[in-house]
Amino acid sequence: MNIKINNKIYEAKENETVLDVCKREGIRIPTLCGFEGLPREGVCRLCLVEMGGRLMTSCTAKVSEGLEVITENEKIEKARRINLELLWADHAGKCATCKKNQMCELQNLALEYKIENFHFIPRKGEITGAEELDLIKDNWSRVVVENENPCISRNSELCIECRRCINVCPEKKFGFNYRGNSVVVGTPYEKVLDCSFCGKCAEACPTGALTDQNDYVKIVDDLDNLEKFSVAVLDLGIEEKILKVIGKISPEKDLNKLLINLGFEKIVKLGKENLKIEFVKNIKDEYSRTKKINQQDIVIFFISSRIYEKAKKDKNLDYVLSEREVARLVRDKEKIKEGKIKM
Amino acid sequence: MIRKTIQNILLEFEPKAKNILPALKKTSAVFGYVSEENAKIMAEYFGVSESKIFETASFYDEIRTEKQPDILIQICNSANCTINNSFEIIGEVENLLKIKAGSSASLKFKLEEISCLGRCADGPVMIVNGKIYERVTKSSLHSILEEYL
Amino acid sequence: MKDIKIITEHWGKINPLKIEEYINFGGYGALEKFVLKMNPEKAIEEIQKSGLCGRGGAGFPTGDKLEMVAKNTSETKYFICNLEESEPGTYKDRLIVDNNPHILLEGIIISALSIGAKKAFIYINGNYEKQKEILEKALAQSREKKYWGENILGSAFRLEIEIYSGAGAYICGEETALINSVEGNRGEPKLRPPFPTEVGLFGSPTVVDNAETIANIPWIILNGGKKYSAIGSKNSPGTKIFLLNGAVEKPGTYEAPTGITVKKLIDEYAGGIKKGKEFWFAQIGGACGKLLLEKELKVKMEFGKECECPLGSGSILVVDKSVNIHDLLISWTDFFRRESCGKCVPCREGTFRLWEIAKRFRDGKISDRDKKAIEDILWTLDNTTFCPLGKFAGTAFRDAIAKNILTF
Repeated sequence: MNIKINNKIYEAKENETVLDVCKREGIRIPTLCGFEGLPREGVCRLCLVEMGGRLMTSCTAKVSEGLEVITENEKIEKARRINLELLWADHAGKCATCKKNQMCELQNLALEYKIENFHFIPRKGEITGAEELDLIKDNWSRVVVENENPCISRNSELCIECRRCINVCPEKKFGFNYRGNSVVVGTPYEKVLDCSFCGKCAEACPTGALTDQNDYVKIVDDLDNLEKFSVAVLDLGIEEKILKVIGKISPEKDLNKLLINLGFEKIVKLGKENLKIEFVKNIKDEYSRTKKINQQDIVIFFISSRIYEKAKKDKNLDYVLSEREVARLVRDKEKIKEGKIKM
Repeated sequence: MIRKTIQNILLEFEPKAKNILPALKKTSAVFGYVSEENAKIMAEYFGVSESKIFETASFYDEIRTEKQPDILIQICNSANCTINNSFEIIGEVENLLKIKAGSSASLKFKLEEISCLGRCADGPVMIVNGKIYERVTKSSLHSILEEYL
Repeated sequence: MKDIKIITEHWGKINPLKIEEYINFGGYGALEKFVLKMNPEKAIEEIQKSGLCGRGGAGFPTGDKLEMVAKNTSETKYFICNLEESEPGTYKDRLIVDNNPHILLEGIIISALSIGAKKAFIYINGNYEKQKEILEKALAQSREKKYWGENILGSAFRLEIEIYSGAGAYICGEETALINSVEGNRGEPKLRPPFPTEVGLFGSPTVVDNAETIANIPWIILNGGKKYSAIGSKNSPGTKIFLLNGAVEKPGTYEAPTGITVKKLIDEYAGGIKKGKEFWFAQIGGACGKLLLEKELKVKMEFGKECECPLGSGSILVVDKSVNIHDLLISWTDFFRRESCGKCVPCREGTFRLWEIAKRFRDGKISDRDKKAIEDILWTLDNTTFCPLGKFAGTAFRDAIAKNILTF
């Protein structure tokens, strides 16, 4: 069937949504709750488009013959901006210390829509200290921070309740808890996350609410330590993932260069024939034998989406780093280069 | 009296989705709240995830997911009760018991502002531990609370 | 016209717990007529002719809704009586049960049979414990009389009725949220389309009708749709239960024809403004209702897209000048930030920010920034929320500013 988007005719298939067609045709529509393969729930209200004079979420609007859609106009822009700003209101000011800084979908949109002068909460100085405390209390009423599980670091302060983690989790560990402004996305009874740690939630999370658990300072120390021999073991397919996450952070597209820049001395790439984790665990032994380096001076970084290996705490796998953690290392290295961070 | 257990509460319900809400309500009413342990048993019984049981339970006012204080005071602050001075009553309870509405700081008292119960002609409406009081005034408030203190 | 009573006709005249007394007044005569002399198509035709529309607030034509499901060939269909009723200031459905539960049951049975449902639910507000007991007793009595169950009145019709008790959530009055809660989920509204008439409870076609709507059905079946359509407003005929509260001489519940003006309801039914009080404004239809000033009291109370002021649930709160508007503002905003399901961004975040702003109003700390924020939030609530709760969450706030009830 044919539908009209911004006065241009496009072909659309039965059961497709307006967002599907726009994505395929390269028409940009911002979304925060939608994620590949997940149900379209119309939660974030950013993918709004105009149809028949009304604002509708393009992720839930099915196409029909002769449908006319407008994806950009003043009204749409206004709606997206206000809704973004509502999300941004208790989020602003937290980017500088956030693990996802520069890799955050909310931050990217806030930049794109130039949300800086948010006006839903009063400024310091306009209100008394007691009132400010009240505001903070309201905003923090149900913040849950959990770092006790081995793989996923959770901070609901940064959560925008998009439900991606709820929908993506194969073990259904997360729920949309409570009601109204008390809503918290989290585990039942706020208990420590205990699952098989597939990492899909951290991959799907648009903000810094769900990130990889690690001892970041120690990782950087080990990479910078000239006495340590740092080996990056790259899992099959991880290179594309890393480059995708790094995206805008670094212009460098050569992963080897990036890794060496981070302080890795050796890069090992896994092929189809040696995907077994035992192979990775043997690397330390082998290097110690062949290169005559003390075992304790070899640091193995298994760079992989198999973050559940972290939970096993094997002495031959010093670190398991996901594509996101590598991106974070790259980001911080870039900042040092630009003199933004002094170390 | 036979001690109610989660098992014999669940015996009243077939393990169908439609019975999840009634079973949660009953459990909350009998034990005061739905505990983590009981939620787990219910999840198994109904064949759904614990997260599902908890998100459903935590959505509804009548189902509690944490242990409640000894004395739970709920006062309606919807429009009809408001024009009958329910905010004055709320303020008075806050002063008398030295608590803040909505705060869980005290283990003994909790004051909640709640939505309309459909008793608008007889506002302000107050509920203490499930017992409903109507047309509450500052002076009647004192005698009501005395029963519980 | 003032004397026309359809729903409240038997109130005070019969003992609600004795089915015989209702029967003596001709009760269940409509059901007998339906079973013995009519068929579902004819019944729906009469209901369509009557012009009856939903009394829960939305005002959708009841007959059309029944027809959609009646025409569906699905094996399983459901009928749900919506007795969640948690709109602030509204307790009409509770009074129906208190005074005459059988008129409701009769309406439920006819409606359910007319769409071909074999199962009906009465979804009742969790707080209505006493009313639940009344309904249980009434159900037992009517089953005994073979008004429902197997072989209704000796015919091939059968129907099971079950009471389902809600657990305290305003949003569950919205039909898709109600369905979600019966399915054991959070009571969040579902995406529409598909509408419940196509994909409803457990995936089957479902009609959800407000209790007051249903209570009109027996009268329509007995007296014909045409006669009903002659009562009250042309676009949304019939009578409506109005609940007048606040600064009036005789607060209470009054059944009046639709199309009646607010002024008439206040003056002729509720005895006028309470002595010693000065009228300020009236809020129509609950927490999400519009505000009317004195000069606007001539608007007619009716449903439909063209009406001047949606009558919503039928509650009318008369506010006098001694009331603190800032308290009321907190009341409205607190209600919605608490009762929003929390699913979509503008409603969850917007209602919360409005509540914060209401508190600053009370404390005299409103800034220019807040003015712009109010404008933006009210706009996004009106235009971008997932369901009608968000859309209406700002109505009273918006009116209060537009009508200078609330000043900066």
